[in-house]
Amino acid sequence: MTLYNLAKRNILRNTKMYLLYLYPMVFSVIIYFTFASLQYNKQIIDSLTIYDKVEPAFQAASILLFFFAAAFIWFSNGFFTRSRKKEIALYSLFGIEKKKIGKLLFYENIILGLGSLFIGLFLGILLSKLFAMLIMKLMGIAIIAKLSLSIQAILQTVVSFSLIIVITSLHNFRLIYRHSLLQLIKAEKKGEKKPKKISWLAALLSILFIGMGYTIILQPSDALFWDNYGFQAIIGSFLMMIIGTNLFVRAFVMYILEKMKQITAVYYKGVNLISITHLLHRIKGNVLILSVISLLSTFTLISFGTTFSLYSNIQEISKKNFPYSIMYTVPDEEKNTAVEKLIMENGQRQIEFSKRIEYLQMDGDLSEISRVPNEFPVVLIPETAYHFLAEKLEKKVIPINDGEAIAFYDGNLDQRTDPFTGKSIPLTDSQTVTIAAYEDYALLNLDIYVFPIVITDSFFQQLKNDGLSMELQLYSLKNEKSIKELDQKLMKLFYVDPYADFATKGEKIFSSFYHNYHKFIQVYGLLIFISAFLGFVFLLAAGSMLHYKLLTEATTDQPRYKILKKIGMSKSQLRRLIAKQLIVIYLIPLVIAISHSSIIILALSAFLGISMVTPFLITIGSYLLLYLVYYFLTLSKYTKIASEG
Amino acid sequence: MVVLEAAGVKKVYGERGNIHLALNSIDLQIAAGEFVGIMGPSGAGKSTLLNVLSTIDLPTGGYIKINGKNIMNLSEHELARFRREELGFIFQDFNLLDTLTAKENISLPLALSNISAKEIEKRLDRISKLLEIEKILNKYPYELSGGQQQRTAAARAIISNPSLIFADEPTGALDSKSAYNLLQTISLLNEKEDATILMVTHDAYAASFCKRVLFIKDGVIFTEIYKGEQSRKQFFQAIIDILATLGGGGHHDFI
Repeated sequence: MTLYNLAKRNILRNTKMYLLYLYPMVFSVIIYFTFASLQYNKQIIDSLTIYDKVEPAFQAASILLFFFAAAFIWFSNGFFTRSRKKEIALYSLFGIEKKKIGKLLFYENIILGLGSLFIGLFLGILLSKLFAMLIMKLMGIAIIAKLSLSIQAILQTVVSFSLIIVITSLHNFRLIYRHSLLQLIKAEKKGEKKPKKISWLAALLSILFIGMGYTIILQPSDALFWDNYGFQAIIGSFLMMIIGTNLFVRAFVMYILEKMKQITAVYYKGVNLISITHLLHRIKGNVLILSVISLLSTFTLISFGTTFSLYSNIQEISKKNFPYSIMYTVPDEEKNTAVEKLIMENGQRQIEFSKRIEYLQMDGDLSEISRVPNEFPVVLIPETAYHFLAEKLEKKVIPINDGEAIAFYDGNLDQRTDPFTGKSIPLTDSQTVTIAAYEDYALLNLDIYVFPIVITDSFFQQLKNDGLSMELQLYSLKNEKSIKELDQKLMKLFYVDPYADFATKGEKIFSSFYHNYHKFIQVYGLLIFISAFLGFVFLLAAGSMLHYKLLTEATTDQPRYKILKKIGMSKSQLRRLIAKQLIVIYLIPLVIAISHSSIIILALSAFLGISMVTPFLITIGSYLLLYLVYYFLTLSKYTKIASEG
Repeated sequence: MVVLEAAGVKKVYGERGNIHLALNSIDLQIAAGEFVGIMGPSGAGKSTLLNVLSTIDLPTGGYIKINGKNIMNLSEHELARFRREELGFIFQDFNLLDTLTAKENISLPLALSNISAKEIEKRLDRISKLLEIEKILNKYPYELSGGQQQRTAAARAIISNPSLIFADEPTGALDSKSAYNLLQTISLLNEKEDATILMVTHDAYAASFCKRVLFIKDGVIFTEIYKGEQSRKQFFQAIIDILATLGGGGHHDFI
């Protein structure tokens, strides 16, 4: 029999095993290609006015996906070769040279890899259209996604996966050299080692680490150390959670199980005797995989929960940053009539209120206020106008003296920190204003050239000769979310290309709620897609890793189940035994992930000042649902394998 | 009192046109306290008979009653329970769970029957003293010698006070000294504990420890002999003589 025949026979008789290796590879290719083709999809790029803002997110996600695919394939490959060690040993026993066996494994992997690359690309091409449609729906873009092939995406996928395939193939080539014949033959017969003594210290440490990680991240955001050590604190907290997670699986869970063994009344009851010992062995052999799944799930829950919260809070965020539907510096008479006409066309009844306020524009020195670009002018608002606006925004007013000013929330992520009070702005050579108070809301729409501070009326009159006296028109419209046409016409009126350059705009203010609201929807729509995509991929991969790992163990455990049946374990007891073991194994990462992500989301929600409860609960719910599907799938297959024994 | 009663037990393998009659109308009765051996050449149907009698396999015809209960009428669930409570097993390859200590292995059938931990401890204590395995109770199977493993298996078989213990080539994987010790142990269980034992073996030496030996050939009971007042050596000789007339199988173990 030639080597080729031998290999062919093996593949045909072990189709199932080869398929188990093929699936993850095809899956990785599909995922990677789909994502790459979205990244290069011309329609999406063209329709995105904000593409440069989300490009880094796309880039980062695609790099993450590459490493993920590599790790996933590496894992499956290890899994695959392990189950074939005996076969390889047989070849060697038949007298086939090591070099030839190495070559066989090398070519086999190359062929499998290329095969899955082609299948994956083919399926990916079909799927990417579906995803493109989904992404556009989320972003609120009404374009029919055409099935356009991106050569760039194909090329990137082929190059990335060729790299992975070649590396794994070389690894397989070396397999026969890495192990002795005896090791290969005995690969599956490793026998269970006596479980090591589990240290209570490590168990305690795991709780300590996780607890410390939680405590740090839950510190109120006005705590002093955030200012000085914010970044280090977050990294430290995450590190503690990661280490704690590993220790938790490795030591804490095992410790609890060990303790349960000592409670004889529990231990010697029904199937507990076997399920607890089996669990000890199962978990011991799967510490890494369980920790990784816990962390992947945590990541998924956080990223999806956050983007979903932001997405569902867009209305609120937009309103917060852009309190007025339309806001502009009153232009010359002719232009102003045109603008007013347009607004009247929208319907007089839609106008909730309109107000024209006086303001003063000065080129103050903003160097002390490092948060605002220095080319921004200072927008000085008189106190009376402030009182009117504060009342409309339902806020209390703060009294000030001459020479003092009030600053407002400027889009800072953490709106409760006050970056302004105490700082001063030299307005002219002789006049300086000092910021005496900070308010955590936006007085005017947060837009280009808008840095408003409020000063007293008398001070305003005093400065009038030194600055540019102008008027600001504010409108609040009831239908502000659906004034697409009005918005476009106003845009055209105020400037030709709103995004060309700061300079073309002059230092005149124009800001519309509609425009910014839709920008938000685009950005968060895309982000929600990316995080959902990554989350789904991670869940699928993590779930199937655990699924296949457990099923192989079920196969190696078959003789044990056979013994159990012989000494009188009934089918229902067997099913209960397996269900009990699997639920614990599946629960460990789930509990850890939900706990970690809840804490982090809690911290984040306090920091951002938005409520994330409902979106996060929905996230957890859907995750749980998908996770349960995996559990029941594994349970039914596992039971089948076990009862076949 | 009759513990096991089998009548007209048949077992047919294969389909129409290619039938193999593994057991052909076996009639058998075992009384409480007996120690019965089943011998025969390879392929005679020894293992089939044991599997059928021990409820692991279903006969094609006839009936089997254990303690007056017809085991053919039991549901899967009842069968499992029956196996747990009424039967004990000792296998050639021990069939101990390698993830459990000897103590846990022995306790397993009782735990599965939801017997209280206290009661389990009590019985375990007695049995392990009887079989002299107290010192190895906390060890794992791979830390034990073959003989120790088989004695652990024997303890597991007896701990639930079964009506009947099935031993399938229990000495098959043991060296001669361990085999002798184990057979002594089984005899001890038979004499001291009044355990009823049915042992399948192809080893005449092992069979000589029994009180009665059945010989089967080509699916039927060929003959049976009782030890009676003979010494073990004499009984051994009698077994050898019958095996010689039995022929067929060709390979027997001699000492």
